[in-house]
Amino acid sequence: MEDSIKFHKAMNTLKPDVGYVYHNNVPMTEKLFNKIQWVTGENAEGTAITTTINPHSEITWALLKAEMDKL
Amino acid sequence: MALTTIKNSGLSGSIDLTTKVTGALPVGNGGTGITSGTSGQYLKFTGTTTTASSAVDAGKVLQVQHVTFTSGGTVNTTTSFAASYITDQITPSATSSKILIQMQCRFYPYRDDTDANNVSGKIAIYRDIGGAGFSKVWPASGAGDIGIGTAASSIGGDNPTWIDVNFLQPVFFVDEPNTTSACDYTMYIAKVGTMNNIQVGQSTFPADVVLMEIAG
Repeated sequence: MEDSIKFHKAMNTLKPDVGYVYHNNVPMTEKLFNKIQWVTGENAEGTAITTTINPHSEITWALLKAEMDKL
Repeated sequence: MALTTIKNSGLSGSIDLTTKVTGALPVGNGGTGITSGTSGQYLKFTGTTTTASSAVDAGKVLQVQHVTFTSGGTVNTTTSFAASYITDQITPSATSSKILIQMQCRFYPYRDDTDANNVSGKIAIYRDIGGAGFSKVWPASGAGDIGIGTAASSIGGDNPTWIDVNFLQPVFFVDEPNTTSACDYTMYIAKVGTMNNIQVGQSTFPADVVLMEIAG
């Protein structure tokens, strides 16, 4: 299974339909995980409002990696 | 009145060019041959030894900015537009100029099931002028949905538990920014409906941005 698909399946398991954006490599390491832009809202133009501070307590690097390792 | 010849020895020191010289210095003597021009226009040779103030012909390409991304990518899991890595900058030389934006990239809608009736994503072009912040400039109206509709049985290959469709997506757009400040153009992406995410890049296929300034 591709890393990107593994990552998205694991993320969806921890919290379905969570909003995030990332660039370049699939966040398969803690360093890349910490660069994820979490979408917290949308402005009037339909543009995402993002933060790199993870607002989802259900999603941590340790939990995500554990889910990915199951796949 | 008799002419007076000034010898070289009489030229020591300096000559006040603003008050002691009249007329136009010819091209053959290192001048322009003109005494005035039109604001906003350029100095153009109209003959081998003559120049004139001249506007740039409308439609002429004034400059081209081009970048190729051989790696990189962006993934967005929301229906809100987010900036991708596909971007470039151009600084127009005149406020009347138009900017032709051309972008192409690998477009990759992904869904984690086999409902292939709506495999799509959205693309928009955002512009930032002089660091003031990005805002959408294309499409002017409509959502900008791009996608395909197909039977679930025809895609998914040997692993029909998800659908990923790759295609090359070009975008063309003419902007009139009305500025001589630096303009950044960036591709923004968003997923549509129940898609899991939308991706651009994420492969070795290159993404390109070409920005052309065209005289207005």
